[in-house]
Amino acid sequence: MSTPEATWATDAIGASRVLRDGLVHRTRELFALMVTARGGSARAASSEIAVDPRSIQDMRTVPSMELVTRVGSGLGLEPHIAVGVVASSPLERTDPAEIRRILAAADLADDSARVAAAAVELALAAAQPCDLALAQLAEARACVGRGELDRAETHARLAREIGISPSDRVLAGGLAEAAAFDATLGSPWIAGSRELCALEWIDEACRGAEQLDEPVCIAQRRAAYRLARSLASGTLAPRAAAALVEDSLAGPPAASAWTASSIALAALSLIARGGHGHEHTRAMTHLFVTAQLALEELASGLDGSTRSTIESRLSRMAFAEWSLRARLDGLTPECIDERDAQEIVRASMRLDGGDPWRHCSPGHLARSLRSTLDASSGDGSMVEQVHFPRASGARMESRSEDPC
Amino acid sequence: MLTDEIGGVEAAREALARERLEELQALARTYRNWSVKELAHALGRQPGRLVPDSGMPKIDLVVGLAKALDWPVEAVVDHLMKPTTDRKPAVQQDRATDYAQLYNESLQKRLERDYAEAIRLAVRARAIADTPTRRAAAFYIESFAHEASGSYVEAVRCLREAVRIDGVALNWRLLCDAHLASVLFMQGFTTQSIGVASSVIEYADSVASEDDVLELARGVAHWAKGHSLRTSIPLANFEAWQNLAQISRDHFLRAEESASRLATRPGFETKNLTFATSIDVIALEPAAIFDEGARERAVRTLVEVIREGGTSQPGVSERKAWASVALANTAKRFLTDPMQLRGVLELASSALRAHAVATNNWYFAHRHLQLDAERRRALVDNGCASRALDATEARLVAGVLGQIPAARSDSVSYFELYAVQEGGRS
Repeated sequence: MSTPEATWATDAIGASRVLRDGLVHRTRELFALMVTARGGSARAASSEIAVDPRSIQDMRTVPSMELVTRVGSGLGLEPHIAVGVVASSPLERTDPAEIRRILAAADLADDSARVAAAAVELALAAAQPCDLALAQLAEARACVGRGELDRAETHARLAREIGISPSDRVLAGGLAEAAAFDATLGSPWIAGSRELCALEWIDEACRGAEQLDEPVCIAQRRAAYRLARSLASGTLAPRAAAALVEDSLAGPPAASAWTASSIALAALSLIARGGHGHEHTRAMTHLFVTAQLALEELASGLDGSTRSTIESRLSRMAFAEWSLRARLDGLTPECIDERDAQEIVRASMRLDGGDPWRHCSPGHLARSLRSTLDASSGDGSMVEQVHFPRASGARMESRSEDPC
Repeated sequence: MLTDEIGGVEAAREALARERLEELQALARTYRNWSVKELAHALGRQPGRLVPDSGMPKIDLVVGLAKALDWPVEAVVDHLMKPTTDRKPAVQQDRATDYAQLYNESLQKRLERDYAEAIRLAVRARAIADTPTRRAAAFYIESFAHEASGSYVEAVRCLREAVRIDGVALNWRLLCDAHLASVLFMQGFTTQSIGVASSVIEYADSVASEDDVLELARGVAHWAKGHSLRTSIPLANFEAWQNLAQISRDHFLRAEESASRLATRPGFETKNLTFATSIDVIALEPAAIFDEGARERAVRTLVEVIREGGTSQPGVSERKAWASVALANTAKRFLTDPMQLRGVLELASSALRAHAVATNNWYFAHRHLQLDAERRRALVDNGCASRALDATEARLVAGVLGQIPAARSDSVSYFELYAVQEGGRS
């Protein structure tokens, strides 16, 4: 009998062979397309793009990026598009039921990028209006993660108007509940965080689902949100909340992750709103740090999807913490070392839904942070603007203008 | 010596490529919290062989890196291949007062179909733009030229840049958003398109003041939302979608109202409102879904529109192409006679191809290829050999796969149908 490691290795080799064969096959076909587009002679077409046709015809191993971009150039395709065509997988399109499973997993892993990708897939594969409604709701969840609250409200309203299927109530309720929490307490970096009516409505409408066959993890997350809201409303004292965080560590790791992180984010939201005394702020800071340390310790002993969920939640906490420090403390270059910069990069990559063009490398970011701070007045506002830009969206003037 | 110089350039290029690859690998390790060994394992390489000497990785490494970063493959390639930024900027001769001239010249060049020059002028206008609105407007006209030249990817990039600018005047911000919704629809991203278009409509309707740019934004947003809802409706089992079909048709009607209001104002002649010439025909498709009595009339009208003579006037060719889209979908939903259906689809496919070839419109090219693929499959099923691909169709396939990301998951079936038939001949 094979060990799990051996099975994994066999699967990986199999997957890599499928990947390699697919890449070789599609490169050959892209080349054939290029030859046809350029008149039908492989020799003449190859000569024009400075490629030896035998390197394509006798190709045994995975082609280099350079070869593919040359073939693409013969079709007028830019390098990134040529590689994108060759790398595209024919197996990506799945049926709406499978996409729902992916969406549910992404929601419970707090993975904005996967939620947004699932929303696109669901809309493309929509067989019923309810598929479209669910796609809109998933997009709303992704928008809240990026701080685009107005757009999130629009998507949620569309979902509500199109109509959520009764069979989607558990999934839709979970998405709406998470987005509604993030719009108020779960994303302290959002300027003007508030309740979103359409999301609240969907959340309420799907509440009956609590009585249905609801996964335990959804119920655990809802319990975590309740505790965080109690902290925010003052019905749960910071000390009691800290005790709850510590107690939760004895339970299932995923539930601990949601409890500790939701309470921590609510604590940070209260600090961000201000208006409380020094003691209160200290208690909330202590609560946040306690939760952070507990989750870091918990993550270190885990593997797989649970660890991934905890890391997502830790990233959200880190993003919240750094945005708040930039806003309240006035960061100085000395505040940010390489490790901090890495933490910020990790967090912003996760929460931006994978907007890659914003980031270069941790070293680059650290340098960029320092030069930004040098150029700014030292109140940290520039840091916030440069590194947390999606949190508030671009400001729009309320008047019309003629550029010419 | 020349050979030494060439060697030096090549070495510098390789060094830069290696540096970029190392940067991305470091970023992936940061993102995943991985050690070098873990990264190497994930990428299927030995830890000491993560970066080739040439800096140009094999494609499987690029795919693996994209997966590790949760980025699209295109973004990884873009980063690896983007030109170095330490070049000195070209001497700037334009002044802020030249903005209006550059802006208008760019628009004129686009109308003359000199897209490369239109883009260059728009970039120059942006470089001297001294207000946020001017910068956004320059991005807008640049995106317009990219879209007209068939580069939707670049068009979206420009519009996203424009909507990220702080302090843009409301009318121009909404216009950029509305066009973003329109291009996202053409690329197949209907969920985002519906959301962006809805936001524009809500905002524009809530504003007390009116101006032409705002009206145009409203019209384009209705147009984009109408289309995104229309294309969401499947060709089979569409009974449950009647309500959405009606909403889609209503958005087209509102787009038509905006276009009619604009058509009376100076500067908004047909040349700027080509979409307005197609609204009545495309609205027939959703109308046929919820109105049983409109079905036969829709097919008849659409066939007549496609058969009308003349394509040289602005908007006429586009009108025929939209009529073809509506006709193909309506016929597939409602025509029961196979011979009649086949004839109608042939007509639609030819009209779409003609417009796509003439204008590099990949949305229409995609629709044409879908119809053509169905026809080819039917021929093969009947034991007939399908016609080999010609050079023009090969370019259409490449353009569609390049500019319509949603089409890429069908690339294998396109290649199966087309590429191997003629290519590879020495």
